[in-house]
Amino acid sequence: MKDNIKILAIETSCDETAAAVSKNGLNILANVVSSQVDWHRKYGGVVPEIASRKHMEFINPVVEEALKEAGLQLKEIDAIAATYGPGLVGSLLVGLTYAKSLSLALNKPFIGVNHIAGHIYANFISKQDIETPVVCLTVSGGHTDLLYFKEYGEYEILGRTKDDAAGEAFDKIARYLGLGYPGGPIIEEKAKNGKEDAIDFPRPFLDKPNYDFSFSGLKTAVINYIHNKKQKGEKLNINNIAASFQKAVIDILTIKTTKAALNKGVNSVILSGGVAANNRFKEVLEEKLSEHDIPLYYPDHELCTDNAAMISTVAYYQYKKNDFAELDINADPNLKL
Amino acid sequence: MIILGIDTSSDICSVGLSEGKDFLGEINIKLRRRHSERLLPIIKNLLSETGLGMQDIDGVAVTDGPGSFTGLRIGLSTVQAFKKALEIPAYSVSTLEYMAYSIAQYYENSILIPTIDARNKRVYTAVFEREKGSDELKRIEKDKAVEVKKLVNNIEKYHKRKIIFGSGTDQYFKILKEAELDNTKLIYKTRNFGGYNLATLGYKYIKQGKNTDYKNLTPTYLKKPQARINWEKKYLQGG
Ligand SMILES: [Zn+2]
Repeated sequence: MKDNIKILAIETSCDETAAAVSKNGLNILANVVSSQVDWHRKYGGVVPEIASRKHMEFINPVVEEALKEAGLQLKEIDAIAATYGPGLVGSLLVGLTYAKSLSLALNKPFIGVNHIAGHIYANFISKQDIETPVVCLTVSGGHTDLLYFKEYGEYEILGRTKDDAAGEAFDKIARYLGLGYPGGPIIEEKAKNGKEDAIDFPRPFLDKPNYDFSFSGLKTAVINYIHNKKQKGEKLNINNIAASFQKAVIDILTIKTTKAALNKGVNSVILSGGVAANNRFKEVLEEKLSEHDIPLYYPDHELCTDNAAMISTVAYYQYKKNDFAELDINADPNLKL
Repeated sequence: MIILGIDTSSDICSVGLSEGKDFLGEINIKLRRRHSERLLPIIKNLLSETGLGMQDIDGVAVTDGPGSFTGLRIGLSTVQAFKKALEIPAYSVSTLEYMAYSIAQYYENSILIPTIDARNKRVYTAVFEREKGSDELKRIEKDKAVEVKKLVNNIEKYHKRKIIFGSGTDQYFKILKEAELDNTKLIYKTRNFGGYNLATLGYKYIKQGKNTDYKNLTPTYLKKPQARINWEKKYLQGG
């Protein structure tokens, strides 16, 4: 097989327009992200129609920037990849169509990548010698999955959320408290000045023997709590609410992940997705796992949020397996692992 | 000069190839929502059936609206990528101009009024003219969204033969018919304007050195996003 495989990857599943170039999967030559977060903040969340409009404006400049940063011409690229799901369908279609069209025009293979797999493989970019088998917790605004990896290329799903994703709960609570968007970093910031044990919020599903999650009950409990306080005319301690809510989420994720790691007898645990950027969570989970001598890995901060570097890495492993897509591949907003 | 024309603004996907003004081939298929799956295979097939390759294309023409935003974005992001990868000029044109241009050859000395259904008794429309003894299509009014009744009032002032056609005409045929406009021909069900016509329209502009830049290879929105309208209502009242 050819050496030095250079892959151009495009990621437009939500509100970041991103392009990256990697060499042999893990050597990231360029990683460009154009965030639209300022455009969406005032609406309290991502507005799909605005996201699609912005992707149309940013896609070409972002790709040009990535090629420039990598010091490569399009014709030197060996394969083109793009995220085809999950995500917002209108957003996905812009990057996917652009990438497929490049592949047709350049006569290079096309690789369709699952966004969630991208978040997981971000770990392998950050630390390149993670010992398998591993348990991986992948959490974001759209998903909460617990996976078991025997090797880098193979995984098994142990459990997932039955309702809201953990990140979604952060966004909804932040919005309900009028704190703005995105919810994750705002709640984490408020929680720093609050007491984690101030309010006893429920921890759903902890009594269940499986690895599934549920966050909608917790979200409702927090919203009811705020509502009742307001009705009684009592003052809200936002910091305490943020800290207690965050702690409830952290407990649920920590207990389930640790249980999976021990039952599966893994060598390491890895984190992925936007929630892997929450420092308090990493602190608690790391401490819990260290009691059992299991190391915890998570991607560098810039690889936790949506980016195309992680997509190019997954694409490389697919390239090695000849896992190419045809030109008729469509966006799948509900794509699962 | 070989030009590829791509129209994905409606439920019909039209792809055509022209060499100058000469016809090479076209594929027009009603796809409903499957443009994302079918557009590239259709282009590939058309090229292969006409004995051409991607590298033979000298320019691309594409519609930028009005039309389905999702459909338009599929056509336009494809054209952005082709422009980039093949290093060729691209030209984006109003869907309404493409419609008028496609039928103009049949209607000399006429006012051409393409319409696209914009729902709620509204249409996207514009006004074009093909003068006597001329092959050229001249734009008289810019693209806009109007109520069908307003459209009727607006075009009363034109005394030449008026040709009204397109999906808006099909949808509101009764209203238009009952308006009894003078010297007017309503064409029912002219939905397919053909990728070849778009290719030759692109040729006309690209030959003049026109080349749409990437930032304008995006849909032309005649309306702000709903979230923006709501936000402005809430926060910018009175200004
Ligand atoms: Zn993500």
